Amino acid sequence: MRALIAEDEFLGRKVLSAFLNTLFEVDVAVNGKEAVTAFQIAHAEGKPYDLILMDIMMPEMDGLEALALIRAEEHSKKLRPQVKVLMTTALDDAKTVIRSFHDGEAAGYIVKPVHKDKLFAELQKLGFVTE
Amino acid sequence: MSDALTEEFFAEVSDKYYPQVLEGLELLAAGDVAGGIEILSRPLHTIKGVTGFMPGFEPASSFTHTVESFLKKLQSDSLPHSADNISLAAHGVNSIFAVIEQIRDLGAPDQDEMDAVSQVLEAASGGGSAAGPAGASCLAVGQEQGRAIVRITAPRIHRKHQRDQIVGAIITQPQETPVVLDVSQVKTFGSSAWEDLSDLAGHWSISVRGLCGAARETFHAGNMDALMPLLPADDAPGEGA
Repeated sequence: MRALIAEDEFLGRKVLSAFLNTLFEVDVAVNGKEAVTAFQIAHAEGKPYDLILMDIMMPEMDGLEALALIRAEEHSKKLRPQVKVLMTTALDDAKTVIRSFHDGEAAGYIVKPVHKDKLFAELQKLGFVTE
Repeated sequence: MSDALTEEFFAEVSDKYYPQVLEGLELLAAGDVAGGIEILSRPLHTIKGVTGFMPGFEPASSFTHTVESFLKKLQSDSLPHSADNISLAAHGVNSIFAVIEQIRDLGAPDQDEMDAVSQVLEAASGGGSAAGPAGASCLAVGQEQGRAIVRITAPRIHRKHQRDQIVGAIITQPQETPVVLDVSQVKTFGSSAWEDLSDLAGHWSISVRGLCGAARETFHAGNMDALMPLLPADDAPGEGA
């Protein structure tokens, strides 16, 4: 399985990679723009991501905008199944949470700091890990 | 933040999700199952996700997941697009809104009702036994003031063996004996079961009492009141004023 971590902070990338690398082949992106490019390359390679951890506040392109582009591409190219996206962010305002689920069809939302048990609880809900 | 989220969420429910859901349910009722579920999926996914994030609303998230799973099975044609399944899907979707409103207004959902709906959805998906095993009796027949009382004892009437039992209980009555179908213990009653009874209504005098909940919805949706009159709530001896 493949996972993409979109996160602008070095330490955040390092921690999340450490959590995921026993389950996934992990790639990293440092902003939303790179995340969209990585998503496109993975599809072009025929090895799409199973999971994306998407930060919201990132430079150049934020996570919600990147997610909107990814969903638009999935829709226009009829890419199925949709990649499961977990938002990992310090933003927990109501509008952002709702927008993530409604507009971005996010599979989950984790407020930072991301602890391993919190992350794995979400991965379990999505069927990536069993109890 | 949770209060702000709850407030924002219910504003969205009212302004955005209700209209989307109504549109989806209308398409379902009109037979456009794929189109209906496509429209339902976005608001339901949002309700599932956001309620999972709202303290106290977690049961609504799990319940929405159950309804969503049923809809996905219909969408993928894993389940037949029968009138009963469409009716169950609509009931499940309506129940989601009942659950979130109960949590908001009362602090907790009606757990029994939520469990009952979950069980019947799972049973209809082939994964449970809420309607009881085939052959299990779903009714009791008695006499009352010269009338045959067919009292339905199962909470959910959707399976063929249940419909056959009810029809069998009625056709074994003399045609001059009025039949009262007591559904006061019934929560959901499939439209196919009402249709079976409507075939008998011209031959037996059948009236219905104790109609409530979702059973009432399928009864009126099929215009069954034109064929089987509803008796007042105090018809049963010992009840009423």
